[in-house]
Amino acid sequence: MRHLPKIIILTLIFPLLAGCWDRREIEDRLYVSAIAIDSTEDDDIAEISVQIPIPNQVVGGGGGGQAEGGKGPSGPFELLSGVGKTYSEAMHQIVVSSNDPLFFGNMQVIMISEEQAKKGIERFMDAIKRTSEVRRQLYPIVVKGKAKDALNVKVPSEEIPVNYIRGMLRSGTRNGIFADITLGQLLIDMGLPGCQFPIMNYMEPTEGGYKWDGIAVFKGEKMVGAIQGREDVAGVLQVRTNQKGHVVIVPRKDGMIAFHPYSSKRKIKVNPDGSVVINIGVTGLIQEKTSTDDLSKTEVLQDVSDQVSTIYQKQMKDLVNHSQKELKADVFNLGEYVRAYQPKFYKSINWQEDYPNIPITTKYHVTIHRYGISSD
Amino acid sequence: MKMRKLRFLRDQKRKKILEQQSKKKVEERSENKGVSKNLDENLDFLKNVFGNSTDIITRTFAMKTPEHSTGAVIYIDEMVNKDITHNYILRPLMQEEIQDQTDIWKNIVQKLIEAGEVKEITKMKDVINGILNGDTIFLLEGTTRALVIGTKGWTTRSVGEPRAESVVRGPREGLSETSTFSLAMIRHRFKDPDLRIQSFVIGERTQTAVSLLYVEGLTNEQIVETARNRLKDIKIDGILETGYLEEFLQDQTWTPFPQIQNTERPDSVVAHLLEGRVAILVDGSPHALIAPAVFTQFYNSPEDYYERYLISSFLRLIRLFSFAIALLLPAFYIAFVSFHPELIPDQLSIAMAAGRASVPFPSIVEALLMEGSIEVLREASIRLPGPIGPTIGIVGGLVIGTSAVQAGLVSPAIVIVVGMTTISSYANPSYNAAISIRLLRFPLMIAASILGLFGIMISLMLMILHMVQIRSFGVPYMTPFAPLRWEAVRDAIIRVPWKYMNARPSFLKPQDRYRQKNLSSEEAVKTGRDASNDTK
Amino acid sequence: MTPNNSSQSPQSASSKKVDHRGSLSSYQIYVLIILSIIGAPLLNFPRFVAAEAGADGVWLSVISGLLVTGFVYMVSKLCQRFTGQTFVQFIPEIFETKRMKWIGKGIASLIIICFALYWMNQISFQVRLFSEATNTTLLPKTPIEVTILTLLLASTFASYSRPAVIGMLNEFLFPIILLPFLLQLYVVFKKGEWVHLFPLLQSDWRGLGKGILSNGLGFSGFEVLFLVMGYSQKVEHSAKVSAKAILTTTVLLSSTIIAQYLVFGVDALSKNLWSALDFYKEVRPELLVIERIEAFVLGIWVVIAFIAITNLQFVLVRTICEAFRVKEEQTKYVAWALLPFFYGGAMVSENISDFFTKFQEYSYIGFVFSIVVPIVLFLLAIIRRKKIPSKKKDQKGEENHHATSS
Repeated sequence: MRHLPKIIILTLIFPLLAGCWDRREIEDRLYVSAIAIDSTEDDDIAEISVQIPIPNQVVGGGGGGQAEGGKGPSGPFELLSGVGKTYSEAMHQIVVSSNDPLFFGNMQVIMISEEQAKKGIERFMDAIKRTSEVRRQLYPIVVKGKAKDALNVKVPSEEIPVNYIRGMLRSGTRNGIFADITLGQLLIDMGLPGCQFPIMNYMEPTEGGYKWDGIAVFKGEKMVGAIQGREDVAGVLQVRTNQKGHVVIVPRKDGMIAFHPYSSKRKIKVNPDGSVVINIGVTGLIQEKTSTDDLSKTEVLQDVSDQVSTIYQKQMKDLVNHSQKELKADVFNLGEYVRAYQPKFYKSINWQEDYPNIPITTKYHVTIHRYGISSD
Repeated sequence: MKMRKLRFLRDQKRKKILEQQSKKKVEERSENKGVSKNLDENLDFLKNVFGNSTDIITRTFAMKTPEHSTGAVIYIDEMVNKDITHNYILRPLMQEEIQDQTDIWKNIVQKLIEAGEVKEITKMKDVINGILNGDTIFLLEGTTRALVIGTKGWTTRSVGEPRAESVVRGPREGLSETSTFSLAMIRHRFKDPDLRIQSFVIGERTQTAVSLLYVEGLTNEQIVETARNRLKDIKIDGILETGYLEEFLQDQTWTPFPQIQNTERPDSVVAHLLEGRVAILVDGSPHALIAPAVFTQFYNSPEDYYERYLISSFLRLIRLFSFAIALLLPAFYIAFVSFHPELIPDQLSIAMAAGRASVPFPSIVEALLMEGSIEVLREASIRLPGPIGPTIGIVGGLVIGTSAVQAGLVSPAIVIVVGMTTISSYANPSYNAAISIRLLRFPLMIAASILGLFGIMISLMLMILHMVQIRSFGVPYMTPFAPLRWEAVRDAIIRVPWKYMNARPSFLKPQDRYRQKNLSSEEAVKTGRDASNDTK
Repeated sequence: MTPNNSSQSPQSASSKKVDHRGSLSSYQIYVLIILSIIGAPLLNFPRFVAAEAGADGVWLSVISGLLVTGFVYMVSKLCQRFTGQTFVQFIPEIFETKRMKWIGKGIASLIIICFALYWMNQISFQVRLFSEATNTTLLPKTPIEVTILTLLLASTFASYSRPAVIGMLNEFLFPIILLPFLLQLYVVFKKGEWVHLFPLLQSDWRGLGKGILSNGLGFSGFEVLFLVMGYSQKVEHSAKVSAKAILTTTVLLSSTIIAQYLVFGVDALSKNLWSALDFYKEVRPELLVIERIEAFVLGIWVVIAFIAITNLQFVLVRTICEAFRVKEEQTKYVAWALLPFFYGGAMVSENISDFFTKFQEYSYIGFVFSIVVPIVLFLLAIIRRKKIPSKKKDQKGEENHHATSS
């Protein structure tokens, strides 16, 4: 019985402690599912909007017998906005107008309007980086037009538009079409000294949905432009994140052959003089054939793959030119390789400025693995 | 220190008083009083000792001897096998004629009494014990000797199926309340002359027979010695169930964890004896105590050894999982809902928020409410008379659960959590270990409600610390994990095929280390099959 | 109360000094050393290496691991000379001369006090570091005092257990703490980039030295072996066991460092205060019920921090008890009496950057101290041919007499 007093004291203390400090029930938090960052007329002031789903009005979330279900006039979510010079100033405005504290743990998407992206994103990213509850897996995207409006799009298949975007981005990145840029990746990219050229997915709200519009290219914290063609984006991603690339249609004499890549492997070589050689090996299969070529012959396959690599190569060359001449931004993240493999050369130049002058050559090697079930 | 000294003195004093009291009792029962020549004196004495209890039958009769000697048969009604007492003791004594008066005692012992177990005694103490044990006593005028005739035989329950440890595959026989029957069942399965059964009589008043079972030359001497000493040290007025003994035998009192296993299956007893443990049977209880017991043992079912190893391994993993669920799920629910909603998948978290929107309590209150009521329901369903028990259980669970959700008292999620927890705690094969988990759940829930995940982890650490500290008959409780014993690990989380379980658990330090004699010791442990083929 | 349980009479309670020799198996010592070293620093050690050693930290971590392994092997040889004795017992013997016994005692107590202070610093550091991590991620609004006290109460409660219990606790928890290291592989597989490791060999000699030293700091905590070797069952294996333990630790620590370099790159890593947590945030497990694995990892980190702090506290408490010949039953009073010091130590710094700089300075000093002192001891012991003659090994009485007379 020696322990009895201790036990009694402990049992008396526990209920007093219960519910201190951090205990905040799940229903007493406002889930921010997305935030949108917009610029205002004043360059220093930004508008930040948060999208908060209302649990009771989200389909599938109707617990038990809540009689007061049904949709409010504004839809199943709330939009709150605040303006301010900094992220926290704007957030403060939102907080004072909401009943419960905001909770960023389930945030899915950060939308940055193109206008604001051009002005710079660093100050928002810093605040987000410091908040530990924000997940690193959310998707930062740049949207055309006003980001706040993008949050308000009515999507027929989803109650909350953010879920739609997230689903779109997830399947897009899994298919290797979209850039696999999560917040974590973005922060790593922004932190790399040799990179300084982050990219983000670029989207455009449309009637009843969204349209993926390629990738937004940043120089430092400022957006400098976008790469929009699907082929171009695929080329960038092939080099930058080893994504598989895109479908190529090869014209043959009496028809065409469609080459579908399923994996690609890039090797980047940096010479001491700073010139960069990118070797990309693409493996894929023949998806479609309307020509009369006999694919069971090695020469024909070789011929087709040569043709594919020529097409890839040409596209890539244009892409490199585009990035060096017009964007003046190292979309391929080559700086990181130059820094890693030729540190002396890297130190002697200013990569951000000198990138357009770097000679870049690309070589493709295409292997056709299979040609479907058909034997020819 | 002072307190301890005082307590010690008080205990000493108490001990002295107790000793004196018991001495008096024994004196009353006349420790050394022999059987008197005078039959009436003997009968009076017995009458005095038993205080005219009506169930004691004394039959005085005259025998057909030349001198018509008076004899008396004494027994307790319903404790003896009446058939034997009447037909094989009383009838020959009263009907057979004895010609020779001088050798009458010898005649009676050798010719008249037709029962098998006959013992001559001279002490009144033995007479009393004999009567109380269900034997029949024969007293004869003019002799200082008495006969104890073994006629034990009261009505017993027929051998039934063990109810708390039912298996799909395996024997359906359960131990019996009569320890002689139970011992027979064990002997039946374990025909080794080295099986030792040592008897103790424990209980000043109940005089309960307790048997200690071990295997000579296999069981570690030290374990047997510990068991023996601890049994000898018990001074209590009565033992009614193995549970009494368990609390005296266990090493640590202040713990929710059982340190001695109990089973009602004779096959399980034999299996444990073979591993090098000791078993303790108590007359009057259909359970056997198994010691030393380690933690993993409570999660093993005897069936694990009867089914094929893959199935048993899978079932053991399931049990481990259900153990984790039963212990942690409500605590994690509280931690997630009240502290870390970011850990719940986001679609689910919105659904849960919606479910909890109308609940007025914090999650800890909600969980305690539901867990508490399910405990009540569980307890009540045991008490309810047979056929309606399950019905009420279902009705209570379903109706109360559903209407509580509808009334907005609790959220749908907690009903799932509580349901899962309850079901999981039933997956545990041993009842007392399951209860300890049910108990420990509550402190964890409280810890979760104070510090969330951090609180749970810290409490778990303290729990593990406590479990590591426990010993059962000198064996650390968490073996084979701490201290690590590889050959026993293969029979802890999973069960490897019998071929590879050649060594007995080494933490029990058996004198005979290997099970399969034809395998060459160390190699066989490693290579199992190959070695067995070689030797064949 | 039952007669059985109340039989703890005062006579048996005030039993004489309990002998703990031979209460730890080789495996338990192996695990104990690993878990004492790894500890909470794992949370930000890679960041520290990145900041101090730059890109070369990757391979320097392996180098310093090997150096420490060699060093520890040597030092445990020293312990092997004094079978069944903890450093509290054998240090005085190394220094004592026949004429002036007080010299041995004086120098020994100085060394022991230094070690004790170093451990206290380590304990405070780990408690604070871990609580900061917990408060940043799991309990942002809870006062830091609460987390620190909870952790300290739990570890203090554990720290005065018998050595055998501490050994088993370590043994039991060891497999659990290996899980994050497995998960690490998954993260690297998903997110690692080779290019982040380069360029190597960019630092000068001074930088290399600094890198090795800062990497070596990750191994502070190995000093526990001076004490636990005294409890070993097989002292003749101790050198091998401790070297193996340090090697394993090298593998674990270096793999963590390499993994984080691979994912973040040296610059992003050096800027990230809780890099280890962000590391696990980089991936989203597809199959787990929990949305984020970093919570799971943090849960296991509670285990790692708890066991590391417990081990250090245990070693400190036992050292003090042996030095002052405290009775076994009173060990717990020593443990509880020390708690306020750890708490005070942990609360000294007002903000986290002050905390880091302050404690890392102390750690450097302590680490150098714990490297230099054993070397001196080792050399002295060889020169003066001090060792326990093997025939005395089993004669407890004589040995105890020996120890008390010194």
